[in-house]
Amino acid sequence: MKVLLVEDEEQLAGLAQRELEREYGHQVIVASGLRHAEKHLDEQTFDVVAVDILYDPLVTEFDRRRLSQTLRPTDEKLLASGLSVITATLDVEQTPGIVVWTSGDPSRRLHLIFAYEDLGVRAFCSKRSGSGSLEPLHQAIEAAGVQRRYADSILGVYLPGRGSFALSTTLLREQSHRMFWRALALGYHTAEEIADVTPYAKKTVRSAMGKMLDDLRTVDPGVGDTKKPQPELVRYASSNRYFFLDDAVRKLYP
Amino acid sequence: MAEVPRLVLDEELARSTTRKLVGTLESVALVVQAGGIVLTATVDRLTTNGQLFFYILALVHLLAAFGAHKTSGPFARGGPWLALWLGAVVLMPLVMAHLVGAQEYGASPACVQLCAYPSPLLMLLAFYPWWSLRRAHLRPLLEAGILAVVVLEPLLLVLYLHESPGWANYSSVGATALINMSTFIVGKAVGKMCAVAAEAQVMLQNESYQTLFDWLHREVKDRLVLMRQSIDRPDDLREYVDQLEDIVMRGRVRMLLAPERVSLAELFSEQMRTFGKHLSLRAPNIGALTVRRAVAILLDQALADLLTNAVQHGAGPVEVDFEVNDDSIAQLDIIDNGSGFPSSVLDNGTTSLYRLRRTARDLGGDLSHLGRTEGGAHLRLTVPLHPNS
Repeated sequence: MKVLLVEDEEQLAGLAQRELEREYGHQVIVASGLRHAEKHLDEQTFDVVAVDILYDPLVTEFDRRRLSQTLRPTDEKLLASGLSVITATLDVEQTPGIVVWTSGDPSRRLHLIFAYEDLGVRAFCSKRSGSGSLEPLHQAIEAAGVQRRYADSILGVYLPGRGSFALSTTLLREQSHRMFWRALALGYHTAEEIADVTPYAKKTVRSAMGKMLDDLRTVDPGVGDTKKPQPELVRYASSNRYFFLDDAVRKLYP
Repeated sequence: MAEVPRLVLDEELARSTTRKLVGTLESVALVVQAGGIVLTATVDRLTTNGQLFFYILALVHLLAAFGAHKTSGPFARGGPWLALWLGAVVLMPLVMAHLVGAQEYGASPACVQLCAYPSPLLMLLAFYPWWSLRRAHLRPLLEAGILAVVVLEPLLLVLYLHESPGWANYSSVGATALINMSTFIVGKAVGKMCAVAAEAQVMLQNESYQTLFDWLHREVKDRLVLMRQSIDRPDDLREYVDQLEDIVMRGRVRMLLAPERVSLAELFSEQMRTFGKHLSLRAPNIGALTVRRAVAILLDQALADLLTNAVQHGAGPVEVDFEVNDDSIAQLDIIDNGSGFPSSVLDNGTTSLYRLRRTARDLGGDLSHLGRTEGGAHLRLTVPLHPNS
């Protein structure tokens, strides 16, 4: 199969490219990030696109800008990720199969759920399979090529469980709530600060906090009920800031 | 190589944090000042115009307090805005002396009129981040300068306004100085308490970091030395790579269990990675669920113990199932096709399963052994997600 592998870690990408070509007979083109991937997708056709979720150089640059406290939730560009590569892939006329190939860790967990629920990705493969072999990635590529489901046990646990509620009907359901989540994720924690950087009044921000906590508890029943929702929302937004500020999520849910 | 992320606690962050702390108290300080002004307007001998002036001034302070609460006051804004506070404190004794008349100013031995007006300012200034942290050595000079102005200004006014000041005048000035200096010292003490609390937190964090760092450093370094020595022996090398991977995994889990809330998918993922090498596992979908630390530690221990058990008993395919019942009870099932074991194992105080059940019960849950007609073992662990459920 002809595979576009989008991975910023050069050594890992090179190793994966060599093994996938040598051991499994795939033809692999490597792109180091979103722009390269878009260029390749414009110029060539692929059977499968394998995508990492977060790219270190972009995350580092984003964190630097975030700590300078100059970012606003309404800024056009905040953080590009593998989700942007996936949306670019979905725009291709003959849409290739898509594999999410990433390490599972808490900063990526909402990305994985979003990729599954909103972008329709069904093939998930962990970078750190434990065996060191690329057999799982090969299997994921084969599955994605024929639109078959594949999720190894390491990344599979991140996917939504039975009876869970979709992000689109909870955390992302209301435009104002999305804006507040983004402001919280950028470090604007009080109603005053949030009102300053969003088009909403302080009163609206304050009255939304309780509903946002309800939505959060629907997605994550592990979050306790509390009379003061703000600290819980701040904690959640901070630990998932790369998701709330993701450009692809913001494009689909402005 | 990926860039190593920096831990940033820079000057600007420290300043903005302190400003936030002080900024929240600013409106309270303005209300206190307004109260003092109203008291003066009511008690002190003032002309009608003087009284009116002070009532208006009190109103201005209340409006400023409202503004500071709704947006941000001069302290929170920082920089040149501080001149508003300092200017008001310097001007107030002059205005007061003018409005009460030359002989009345500082006539009461208790203290001069509106003597506590600078107190809120001094309290806040005591731990306000003056200038940059790089010029911290100038701070005592600035503080001494402001204190000197606050203490000496009433004295100079008394000396200027009274031809021959008596003990009542000096007592008035002395009491004013005492009140304001005491407030400054209280402010310093509050600042010190905040600093001690922050230092204790940082120390605790440093110790945890150091423990983890030493552990990783020792373990990882040992394995790297062994790997280098066995570079020509592929079987040994592979063994050491496996060991290193396990060490890193344990380190990750340790760090993962540090925060108050833990992503359960991450915990399961790590255990799946470890035991996936030895067992054929069917893992559940966990999604976005997070749990409090105590529950996470229990579930991590349960997965490790129960899957280790399955490996030791040659259990073959193992099904791991997880669900949350009624949004409040976490339920973990581990089902295998191994040789099975009697339920009495859970009552044997020397076994890991007994200890696991005891911990589960301490948290309001339980560990039970469910019978399987087709052989093997089915263990179910339940635990409430929230302490009061």
